[in-house]
Amino acid sequence: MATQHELDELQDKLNNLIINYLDLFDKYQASRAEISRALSDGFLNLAQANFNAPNRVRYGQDMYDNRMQALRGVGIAVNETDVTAYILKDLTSPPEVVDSEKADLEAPSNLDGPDIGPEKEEVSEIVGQGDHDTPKERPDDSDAALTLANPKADPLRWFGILRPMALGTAQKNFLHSLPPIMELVSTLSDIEYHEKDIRSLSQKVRKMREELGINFIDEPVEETATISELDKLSISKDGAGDEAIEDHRLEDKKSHNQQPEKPAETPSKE
Amino acid sequence: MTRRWSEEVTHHGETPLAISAPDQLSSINININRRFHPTSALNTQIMEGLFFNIHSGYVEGIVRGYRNSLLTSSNYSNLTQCETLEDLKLQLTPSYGEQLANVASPFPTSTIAAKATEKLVQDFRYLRAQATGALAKFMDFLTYSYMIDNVALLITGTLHERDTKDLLERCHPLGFFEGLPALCVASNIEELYSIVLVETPLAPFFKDNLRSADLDELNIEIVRNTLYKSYLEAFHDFCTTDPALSGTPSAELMSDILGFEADRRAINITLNSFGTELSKSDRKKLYPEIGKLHPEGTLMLSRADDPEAVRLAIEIVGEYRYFFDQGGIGQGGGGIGGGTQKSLEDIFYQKEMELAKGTFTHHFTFAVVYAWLKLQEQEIRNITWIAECIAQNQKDRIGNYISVF
Repeated sequence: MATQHELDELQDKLNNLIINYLDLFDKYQASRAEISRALSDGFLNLAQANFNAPNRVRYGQDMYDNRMQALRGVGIAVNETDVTAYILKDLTSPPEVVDSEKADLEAPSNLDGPDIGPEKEEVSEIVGQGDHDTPKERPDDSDAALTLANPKADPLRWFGILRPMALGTAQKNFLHSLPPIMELVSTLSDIEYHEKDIRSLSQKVRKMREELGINFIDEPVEETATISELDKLSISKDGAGDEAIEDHRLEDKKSHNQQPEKPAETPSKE
Repeated sequence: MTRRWSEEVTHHGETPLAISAPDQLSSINININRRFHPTSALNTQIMEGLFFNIHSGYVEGIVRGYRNSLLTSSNYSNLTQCETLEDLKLQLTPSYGEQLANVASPFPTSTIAAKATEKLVQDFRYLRAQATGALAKFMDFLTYSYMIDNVALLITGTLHERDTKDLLERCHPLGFFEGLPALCVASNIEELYSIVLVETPLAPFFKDNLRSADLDELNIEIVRNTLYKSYLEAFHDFCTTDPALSGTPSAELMSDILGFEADRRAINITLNSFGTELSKSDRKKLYPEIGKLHPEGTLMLSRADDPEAVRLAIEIVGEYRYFFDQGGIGQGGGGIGGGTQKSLEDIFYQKEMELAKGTFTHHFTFAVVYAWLKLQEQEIRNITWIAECIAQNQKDRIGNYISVF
């Protein structure tokens, strides 16, 4: 038979969980904001590069390299609490790797859904950081993230050697959108994990209250609905962007499908 | 031919008037003497105006008409207030109605650019069909720059294993020439020349550029810029030495415009080459040997390592120095293109447009064709920029277009 004390303990635990859960939501929204800022800056700089194009070149997918290969992959690690962490991985083996997908047009397609699988992500071009081949936690040092192990692999080269600086800025913007995307995905899986906990805990609490004969007015949390609504909301927000982006996305998906094989980088470590 | 006639006419036309001027003609006489006197070059110039219209008057008239249909700043301010691309399309109807009429509603910004370019090409082709003699050659020269871009586009695309058919569609129609599709077979610069380009108008520009190097990104860039350098020099040479053009306002105007273009390229190449694998000696070969910066300025540019050194190099030309102070360069982290401040590139475009606008204050010159082409190109860029800002809902920088009318 449950006691009042046990119930209080459980309720405290539940409260803490919910607080954590809300913190995660905050983090989620922050990541979203960061991603959209990076992407919109990137697209605007891309437009600026086109505006300043010295040779009447239209910088975009017209100049993609068909031999492109992924520069970056996503590693999935599951930690002891069953929370999946998504980690950016450097795929460049220094000298001979060619090029990868261009991030600018690629990145938005990553946002299509909240649960971006690794197989979708890996093509995202984020430039390798120095020489390390081991998976690295989000690169917070943005400068380090912009140097290439193999400069010849830099997709900017597709657009010629003497390209407008705005194009480089655009690349950096798109690049900077990748770590928050990883964060977003990790946060999402964390949220999911919390949801499960909260649900089971609140069920326990409810049972205990019934046993103790306490009437409760507060409904059990309905996070599942909230979360999926939130995602839907953000998707439609992204989707309702502009036609140009939409266009790129479509084309991008096409180019995805054309990719011969995707180096699915999923070294899970317990 | 025109020139010889005009010289004769000058000679005969001036002397009798000066000698046997009756009273009522004396005022004209003074006028004529004042206008005709100082140098014989000026003399030729003005008299040539009398005959310019025989060959090129129609084309000049048409071009001036085209110029009047360019968007003005009030048009632009209307465009910037559009909320959707659909509105923008509506606003563009007076100028581009014909081209945009059949565009179905959700359209990407690139469609607007493509349609506007279509109009440009159509107008240019009409003019070219009307042109004869030196003007025809002049207009051919205008197309060479597009050819160079197409060559670069095609060999880059081939290097990147893109579909040839796709690439040909992307080529600028003004720069299309017969052997263009065959470019895809070339694997190094020598082949590029001997198989394809030897037959084309671009062949002369290759004269100092031939070396057996593989076509990789760096070499393509070098080929493109050396071709452009030779092109600018050849065009400049044509404008200043061709019998039909030398000593005319065309020569004077084009010399200024091409000189500016050359300087701008030199500065841009230098600034954009920082941090790339383009060596200084290679870079030096890309600077056109015309313009105000040549030779001292370009020599200093060739030694520059950072934006500050570029600033020093161009200090010899007061105007450029002013541009540099205005533009966001050298302010740590290469601030070009970003921020609210006008970038150096924008300032250069602005200057180019002002030069082009100024051209229309002169009469009897081919330079108006060049100026119109540049103005129209800028207009397309402006429209695309505005469309892009509208599509992305980024109105803060929408006013960065360049308008001179």
